[in-house]
Amino acid sequence: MIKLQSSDGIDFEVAEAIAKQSVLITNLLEDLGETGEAIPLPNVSSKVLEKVIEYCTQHQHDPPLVVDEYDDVPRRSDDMDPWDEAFMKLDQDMLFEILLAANYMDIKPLLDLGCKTVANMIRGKTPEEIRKQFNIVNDFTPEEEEQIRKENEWAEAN
Amino acid sequence: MALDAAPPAVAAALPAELYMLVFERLDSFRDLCECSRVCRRWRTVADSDGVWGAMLRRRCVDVEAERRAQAGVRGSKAIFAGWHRRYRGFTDSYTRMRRVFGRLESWAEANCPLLRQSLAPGLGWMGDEPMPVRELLDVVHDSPAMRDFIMAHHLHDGQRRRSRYIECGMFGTYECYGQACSLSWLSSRMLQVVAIGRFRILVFALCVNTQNYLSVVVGCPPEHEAALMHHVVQLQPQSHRIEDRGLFGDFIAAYVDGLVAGRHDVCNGLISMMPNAGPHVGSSVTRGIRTTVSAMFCFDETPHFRVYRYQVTFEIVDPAALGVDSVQLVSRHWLIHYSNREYIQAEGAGVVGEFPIISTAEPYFRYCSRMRDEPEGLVVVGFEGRFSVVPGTIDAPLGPEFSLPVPYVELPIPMEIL
Amino acid sequence: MESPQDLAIEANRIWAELSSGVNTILEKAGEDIDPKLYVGLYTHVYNFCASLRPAMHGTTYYTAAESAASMRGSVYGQELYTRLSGHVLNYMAEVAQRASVHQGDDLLTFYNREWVRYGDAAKMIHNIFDYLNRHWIQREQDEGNNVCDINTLMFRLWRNRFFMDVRTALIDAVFSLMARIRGGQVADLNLVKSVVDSYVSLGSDDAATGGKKMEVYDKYFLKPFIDGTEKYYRAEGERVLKEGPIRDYMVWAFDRIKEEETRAELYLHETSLREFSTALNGELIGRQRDALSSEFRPMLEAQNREDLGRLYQLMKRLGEAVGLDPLREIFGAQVRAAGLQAVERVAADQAAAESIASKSQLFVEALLSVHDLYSSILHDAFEVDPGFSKALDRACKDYINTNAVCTTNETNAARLLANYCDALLKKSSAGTRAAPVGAEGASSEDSLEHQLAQAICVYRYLKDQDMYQEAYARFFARRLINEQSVSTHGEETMIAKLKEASGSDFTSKLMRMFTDITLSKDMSEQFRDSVGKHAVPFDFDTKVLTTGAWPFKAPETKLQLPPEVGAAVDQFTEFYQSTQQKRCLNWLWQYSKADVKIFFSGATGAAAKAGYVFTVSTYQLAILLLFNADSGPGTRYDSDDGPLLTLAQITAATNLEPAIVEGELEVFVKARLLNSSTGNVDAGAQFQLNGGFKSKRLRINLAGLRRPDQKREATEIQAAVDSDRMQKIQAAIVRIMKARKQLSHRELIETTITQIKHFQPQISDIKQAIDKLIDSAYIERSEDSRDTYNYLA
Repeated sequence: MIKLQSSDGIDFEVAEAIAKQSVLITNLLEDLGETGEAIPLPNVSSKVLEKVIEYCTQHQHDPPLVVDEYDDVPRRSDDMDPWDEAFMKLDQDMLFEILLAANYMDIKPLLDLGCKTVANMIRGKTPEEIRKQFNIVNDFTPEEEEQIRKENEWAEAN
Repeated sequence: MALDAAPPAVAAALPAELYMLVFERLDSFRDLCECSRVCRRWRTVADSDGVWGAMLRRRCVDVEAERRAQAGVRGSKAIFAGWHRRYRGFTDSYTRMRRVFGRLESWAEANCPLLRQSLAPGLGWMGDEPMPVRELLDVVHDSPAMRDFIMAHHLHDGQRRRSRYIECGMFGTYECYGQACSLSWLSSRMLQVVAIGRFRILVFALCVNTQNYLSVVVGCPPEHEAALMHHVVQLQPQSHRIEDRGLFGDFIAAYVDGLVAGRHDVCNGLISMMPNAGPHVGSSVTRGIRTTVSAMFCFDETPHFRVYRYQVTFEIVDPAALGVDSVQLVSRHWLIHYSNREYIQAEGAGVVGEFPIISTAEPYFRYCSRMRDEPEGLVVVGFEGRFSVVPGTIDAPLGPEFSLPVPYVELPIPMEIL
Repeated sequence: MESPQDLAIEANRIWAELSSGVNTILEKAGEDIDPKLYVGLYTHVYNFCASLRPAMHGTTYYTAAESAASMRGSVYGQELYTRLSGHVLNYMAEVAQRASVHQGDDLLTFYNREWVRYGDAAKMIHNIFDYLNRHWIQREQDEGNNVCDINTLMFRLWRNRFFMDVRTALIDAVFSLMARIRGGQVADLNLVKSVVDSYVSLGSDDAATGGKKMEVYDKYFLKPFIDGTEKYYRAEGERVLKEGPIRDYMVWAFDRIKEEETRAELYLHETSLREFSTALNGELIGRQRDALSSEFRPMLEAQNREDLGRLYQLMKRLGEAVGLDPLREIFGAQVRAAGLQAVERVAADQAAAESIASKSQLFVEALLSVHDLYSSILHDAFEVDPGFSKALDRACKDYINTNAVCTTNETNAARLLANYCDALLKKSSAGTRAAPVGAEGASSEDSLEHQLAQAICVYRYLKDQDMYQEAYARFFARRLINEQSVSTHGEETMIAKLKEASGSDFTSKLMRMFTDITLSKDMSEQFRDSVGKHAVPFDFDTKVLTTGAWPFKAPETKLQLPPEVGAAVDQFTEFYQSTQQKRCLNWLWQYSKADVKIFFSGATGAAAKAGYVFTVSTYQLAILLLFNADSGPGTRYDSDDGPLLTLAQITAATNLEPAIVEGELEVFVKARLLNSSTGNVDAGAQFQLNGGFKSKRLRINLAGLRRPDQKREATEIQAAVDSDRMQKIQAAIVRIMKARKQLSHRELIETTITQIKHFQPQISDIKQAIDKLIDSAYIERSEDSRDTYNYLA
């Protein structure tokens, strides 16, 4: 068992197979050996770490990803595993927190899943719809907007 | 509700590299363009070289070629835009054919260098250069299937003119009773439209010895239009028989996939036309010897009845299971099935006049022979059988004879509609 | 929002902690590191890259699209990357400082210790900077910029800053250590091994410019090391050559190379062992190649296998073409010369001239003595090297087929070998001819088998194997019908060996003959059973031979059988045809024999009581029976010693050709069985049984005295072989043309030659065969090109 300590000082004890989905943890265990001491994760709160562990527990037996260099057909981002899809039904705060944690701890499948989820939220939307979705303020001047529209004109035609 | 308080803070706190990962997962370049119009911060990431570089890679764009073609243009997004303008209407075909030919090239590099050498770079029909076969484009109309075809020739011009490796047929070769056939991918200048009956076909691969053609149907009587228009067909002008191979893009992708998956043997740098797997192949393993029989319709034979070539390969795959150092083939026993549910037994000593010995030193024997309809009108549809072999040699047997079974092989009967 | 100045302060604060952590790791890698420190450093890297930036650019996100793309994401990554390399560079300078006080083994020890720790540290720092690797470095590499991952960066710094300073001193230290080991002192080879490992790990000068993977090792270690080694052995080699003969040098070089190679495996990288060996070989062997090669012939003459073996091993290292081929040539020439010399001695030998039997015996033994000697050398000294093997084979083929003895058709190698085999397998009958010298040797089956194996060994070298086959078949047939085989086992052994050597085509004919003899034995018994014991008043034994399988022809001369024999023959014919439908029997009288017992009027003692037994041919029997006291062709009863007959009378009564009768009578007269009135065999002479016949032995063989005519037989064999060859050539051509349909003249001739085994076809014969096939419309000359033939189905 591996002990992980969240930024707010809470210890989580998890099986090695679960913890090792994080490349950070894998490298650390390899570099330092297993000391039995809790591994501090100063950038991850207990609330987020709990969700991350939930994901890693679900996926602890997944086979490693194989990448075929010829097979990078534009992957449809909507062919998601149903469990993953349900797991990602979070409020935006949590979604971004998990994205950050996956990035920090280097958990590739979770990072990929989070990015896909965000990409799905963008797909097919107009800029205005996107702003509304993510609560973003339009900081362009009208002149700028016109210039950008022109820059992207090529994409409109078929 | 704290809706307006927290979210912007978190969304803004995402490092740029995470936005890049997100944007890279957008399949459509239009979505990406929309993102650049959201806000200043998004724009810097959504217009970045990283994101558009990934997009270019995903669409298999030859960035170096585009840089040359679009002199002075910098930045991945601008290059993409230029590429998109240049290949308007052809971008999907471009990606598809680039991928197919990239795969073919790297396979050929490792397995068939002769083919790699004979795959000349494309003529650049889409560039500013004059299109050498403009009249052809008039002939082939504009359809998604033909766009794949045109892109394939745009990217790869078939046999080099200076060093034509005619024997190295991209679509395979075979030799049977001294006759060699080799289907080569034609250079753009050699493309031609041929009228056969009420059909018009665009020939893109042919064997000079046997007049065996691979071509695309570009004109056909209305009753066949739905089924055959723009399909790749294999045929021979005299025999008036054709085999439908599907739309060009599907055909070439499936063919290259087959090559990569080892569906065809490569022997002395030549691709064997006979497949190793598929519907017209029968294979069995008995006592460590694999017997593979594959059959093919011969387009180069008489129009009066159908002739098929079949190839038999014996290979010791498991010397331990065989238990002896060699076996010698004694006799063949065929059961030939005809369309009227009849069958005929055919037996004989040896094969093609030989009694081959397969040994651990030479664990491989292959021969090719032929089979045909009966002249009285019986139509052959398939065959099965077995070979009798003896451990050791016929003169010095080391045990009783045993059989190498050949499961039923269905013959690829061609269509007759020309 | 913090101001840029605040952020710069924050960045410096993070870097201060990060750099001191990196120092700790550089100094203490391999020892215990606190996980808190590890994660803390990792988090610093993360914060430096991910958290600082958005805030820092808070008010200046927007720039024009093009320049934004190049700016974006690069600033902090670049910053951190630069700071880290600068920091490690300083550390390297300090290590270089510490290294400068060491030299020799001390330097090696120091270098290795530092190297091991640095390796551990580099790996750990690489992992701590994982976030930089994953994002900024990954992007830069995707865009083709010359940036490497942290681990590579660490090694690059080691190489460029420290290694380049110290490498000359390192190589010197390695040499001084190696010199001590080569001089027989004890030194720690592991020090060299560790240094080599570090060179290998350092990779290439610059990975991004596509340098070779092991460039540093090749350039800075292997090359100087090999150069130094060469220099060392050049001097040593010259010293040894000056001190002693070349053979001592050979032993010395052989041992040194072995020793160096064994040692090299302990410290060199596995990929360069070959290059090192090549250098050693070139220096120690290649340089003295001519001197070493010139020792080969004397060694061969002295048959000094140990030296030969050593020289072979040395020259093998120079490669096939440079090292071994010249030796192989010498070897082949030596074998050829020895073979020809041995055969010349046979040609000059008095005993060999006496009879064909002893000539073949001596000939084959001479061939074998040379072959055996050199194949044993091949085995003992040359590891049965295929090239030497081939040279031996080629030389044997030469001297066996073309030499001082093989000058005529009767004495070519194939015929002599056939004679030799016949002598081995034939029962020696002391009465008829001198026992062959080999007969004592063949007393046990083992040694017979050995001799047969040797005969096959010669057979494999024969140019005209078909000639041997033809002659062997004839001898074999004769042995079978005359029941002269030394043993059935011996015959079977030989057949099995022949089959192994040349396939079953030929031996199936021999097997057929064997079967005929076995079946005949059964049939004779059945015949005796069916006609009853006393139906034939004498022992009557027949052999039924299949036409075509035997090299015999039905006699051209007619023979009037004596009535006693005639009756038995008729009975057998009737019996045979009752068992075998529609088969016709032709009697081969010229090969039949009979025993007759004669009581002479003047005989005394045992001879009077038991009579003399003569083994005679059927022709002789027919003649002899005419002299029976109560028979004769109706002539007058002249004396106690039976009828008195003239040549003409005998010829008329037997229906034989006069020449045959004359010949047989000569035998009888010479044996003093008959008396001639004139003392000669001529038309005017009268013949009568010699009543006073005397002989020491009671059993006398007259049948074998008329030897088969050697000359005629040789001609017959030649004719049979010639017609067989023509058929084989034609068959081969038809086979080839059937498969190829069309061929040019040249191709057809070449293919035909490669298809034919057992003999070498003459081009003229092939042309003749082609003409015959055109005449019989198997093939035609192509109309387009006269030089091309088409197959006509």
